[in-house]
Amino acid sequence: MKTDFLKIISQNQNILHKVCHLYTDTNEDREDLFQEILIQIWKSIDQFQSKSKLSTWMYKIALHTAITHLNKSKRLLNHQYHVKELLSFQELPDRYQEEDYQRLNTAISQLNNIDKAITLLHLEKHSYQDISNMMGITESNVGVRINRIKKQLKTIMHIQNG
Amino acid sequence: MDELQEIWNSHQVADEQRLDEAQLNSLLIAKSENVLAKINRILRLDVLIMLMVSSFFIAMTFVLDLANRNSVITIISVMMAYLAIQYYGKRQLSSKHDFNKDNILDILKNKLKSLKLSKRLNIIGIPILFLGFYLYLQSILSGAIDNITFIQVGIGILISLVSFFFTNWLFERLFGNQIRVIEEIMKELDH
Repeated sequence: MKTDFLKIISQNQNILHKVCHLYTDTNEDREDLFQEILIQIWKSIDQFQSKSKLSTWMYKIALHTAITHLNKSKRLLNHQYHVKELLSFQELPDRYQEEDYQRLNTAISQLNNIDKAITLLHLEKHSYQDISNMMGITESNVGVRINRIKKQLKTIMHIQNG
Repeated sequence: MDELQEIWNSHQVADEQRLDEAQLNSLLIAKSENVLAKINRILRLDVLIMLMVSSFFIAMTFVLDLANRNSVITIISVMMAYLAIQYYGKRQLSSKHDFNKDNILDILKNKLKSLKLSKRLNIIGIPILFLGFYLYLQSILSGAIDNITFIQVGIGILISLVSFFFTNWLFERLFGNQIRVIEEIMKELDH
């Protein structure tokens, strides 16, 4: 069973990396969160019902874990953006060469933890109904939040572009 | 937003970040830093305290009033009832959530509800136990329950008040931070 589990995670680790990247600032926190999500998925794997979509189920656990994770350095709740933080965005890691992605990722990471989760799911093309079912908020609330998030992201990315 | 979706989905995890199965396996051994896992860990300590309090009362009854079989049975019955109520509270608190059905808000709501139930059971149950046990002790020392004076009742109430505040403080120390974190997340969800 463990072998199958590791194979599944290995094939779908993109999900875990994306969530970790969004919810943490440092490599140490990122590794901690990755490990945490991995443990939570492992603990819940026997509950998984094949009628659910694996990626949706993994996203739910990953986001739930990220939201309730206690960072060693700090809790990232109410991590609202401000100009000082935006200035540091210019120092992007060279290794990615995906500036657009990095800028988008950095902009999303300035949202609060719940809005981050909603944005991530929306970008991953989950329907409003899916997001509503995962988060426990109404579909109309999802819509309202996504509109608000779009405006926030536009402002943040506009500042990033100088 | 379509453009953003395109940027987002074009990204793939860099090869140096990808972990192979052996590396993933090595990560499976660790202590969880999740707030809910932390609650479950603290719960073990809470159960230990509960068992110590119960054992103390039962042991004292045996030591002080072994000759009176009725009172020993009464005290043990009361303690068993207390433990059953506490067990219900702890079971609610440690119950596992099902990620197939439960959404994130429901999981947090249930945990918060269980924490608050457990707090109520503790801060009401323990002072009543202390008051009952004190009056019971006094009745043994005075010979009968009728011989207990107002001052002794007053001291009993004082003891239960102290135990109320102590239990409240202890609960706050054990679960206060976790409750605040969950409440903060729920506030963000409601926002």
